[in-house]
Amino acid sequence: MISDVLANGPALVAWAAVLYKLSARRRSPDDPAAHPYLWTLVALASALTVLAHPVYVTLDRLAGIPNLARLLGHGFIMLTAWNARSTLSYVNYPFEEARSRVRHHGAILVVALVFMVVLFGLAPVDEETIQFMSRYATAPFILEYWLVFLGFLGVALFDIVRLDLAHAERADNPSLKLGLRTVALGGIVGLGYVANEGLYVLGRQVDATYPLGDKDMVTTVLVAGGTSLMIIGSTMPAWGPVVGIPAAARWLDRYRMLRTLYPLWIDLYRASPEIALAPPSSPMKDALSLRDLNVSLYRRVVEIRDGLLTLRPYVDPRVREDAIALGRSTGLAGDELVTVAEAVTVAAAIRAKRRGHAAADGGLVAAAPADSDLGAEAAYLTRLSRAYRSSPVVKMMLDHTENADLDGGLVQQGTRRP
Amino acid sequence: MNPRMLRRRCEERLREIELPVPFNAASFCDALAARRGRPIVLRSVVARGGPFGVWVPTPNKDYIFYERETSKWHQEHIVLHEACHMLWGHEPTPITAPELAQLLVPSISPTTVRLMLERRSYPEEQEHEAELLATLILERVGGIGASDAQGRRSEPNDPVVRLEAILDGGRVRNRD
Repeated sequence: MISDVLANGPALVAWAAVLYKLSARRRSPDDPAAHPYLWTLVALASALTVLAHPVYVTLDRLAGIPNLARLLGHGFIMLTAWNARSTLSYVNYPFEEARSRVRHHGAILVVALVFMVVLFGLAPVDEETIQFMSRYATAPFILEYWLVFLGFLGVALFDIVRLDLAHAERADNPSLKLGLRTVALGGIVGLGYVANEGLYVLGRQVDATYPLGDKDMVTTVLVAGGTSLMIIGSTMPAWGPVVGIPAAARWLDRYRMLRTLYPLWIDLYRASPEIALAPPSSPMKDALSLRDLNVSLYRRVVEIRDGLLTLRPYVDPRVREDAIALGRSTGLAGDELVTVAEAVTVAAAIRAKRRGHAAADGGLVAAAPADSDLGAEAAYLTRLSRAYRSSPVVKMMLDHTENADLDGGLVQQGTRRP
Repeated sequence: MNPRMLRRRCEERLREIELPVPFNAASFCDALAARRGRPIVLRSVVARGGPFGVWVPTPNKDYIFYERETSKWHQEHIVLHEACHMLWGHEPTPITAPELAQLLVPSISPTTVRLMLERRSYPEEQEHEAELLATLILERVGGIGASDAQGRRSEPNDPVVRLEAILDGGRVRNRD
């Protein structure tokens, strides 16, 4: 029952995706990459359909050629891979370059298909079976047949995963980002399929035992998983907003920021308790407060800003200079170096304030991004807090100044930041 | 007042306030000034510590002084906090004419500013009312997320933009 669903279900999902895309096609952008994308879905739906058991058997009976559906299914899978790769090529490269790539891959596809048809014709696969692979793994010409098919598919899938992840990295829209990552995961499962089939067919040549139990079940799961993930992922930008993916992603972002800001905020609060509108709860309780995140994050950002201002009389500009020198010597540069140096300055000022060591007229801390909005402000302070909590430079500088303080007899006992 | 009651009071107050579009602290103060029939003048000062903003009423106008050396966004919040004292009808501590004259001199020393501002605090409950109302106003007009969903790229040939258009079928853009 489960294997029936796994073997036949993905075809229905794929056709549903095709219909969905066709219904939206009137509004589709006029982009050369839009056509191969639609053909990707059509070819995938066709592949999964001819390989679905009832269709497979019927088709072969009607054609009078045993296992013809297998060849057709493999052909459609290769068409799917070529079209998916074409979609990404058109999106990724200038039109002329993309077209030449698409044609080049198309020529390889045709050659591979011709080889496969010839090898299939030569191979003695005359008895109808849906367990084609296990049944004929050692038949003459079948090893070559599989190597051509899996080789083409493997190279295409590798390229798809690579381009897909690169785009996901740059995507801002959460539905697109998650969608592309889902497609990439599907591609990786597809590569698992290629490896599984390849190793199996090679193993059979030398009578090796298949280590994963039921080989057909493994194949079914990999095919169903890989194709479903790709269909779900590639359509996610369209339905993601309907099921609330952007809202969920924003919630998660805010939650992560709140968590990251906590160490800086709690230390600023301890140095200047007046900054907090509501006194802090325990770290555990803070981590479990999941409601009203917008207001919570707003408060945390404004209270950190207030706290940083209260530190100003305790800021020692020499600490920042030393931190920059130390940071640079550990290989830090650019924004990261500046952020780490600010984190050191803040940490030293918090300690100075606790000990009542005011320094002159005070310096600036944590200059903000120009024209910041709450998002930019929160992002900046998040980076600062992360450096404050975990940068080794901050720890080294604090230890260093602690020792200097001890040598100078300014404090009797070193107290570490909790 | 417990936090829940304070929150409820602020939310009730927020419902009565009309927020200008586009919203920023200056446009909010302009609208508030028009309602009160008294101009509000915003001035930045360097206090380096102490209160970061102060509302100073004079016979014919209101001044709001705010910390110059902090982020733009923090300044907006500070100004709004002072404006919220006005909205709540809190009573500011009066200031003498010579003190005001000093505050308006650009070369005033941060220490002098700080000492002047430190004497001008409100009872804690009023500070909380102003602070939370300012928070709720700014949260409502553009909390986090107002900017993060706006695509940073508008370049139509950007691969990611094209991919998005293709995969979502050219749906009319109405980003959540």
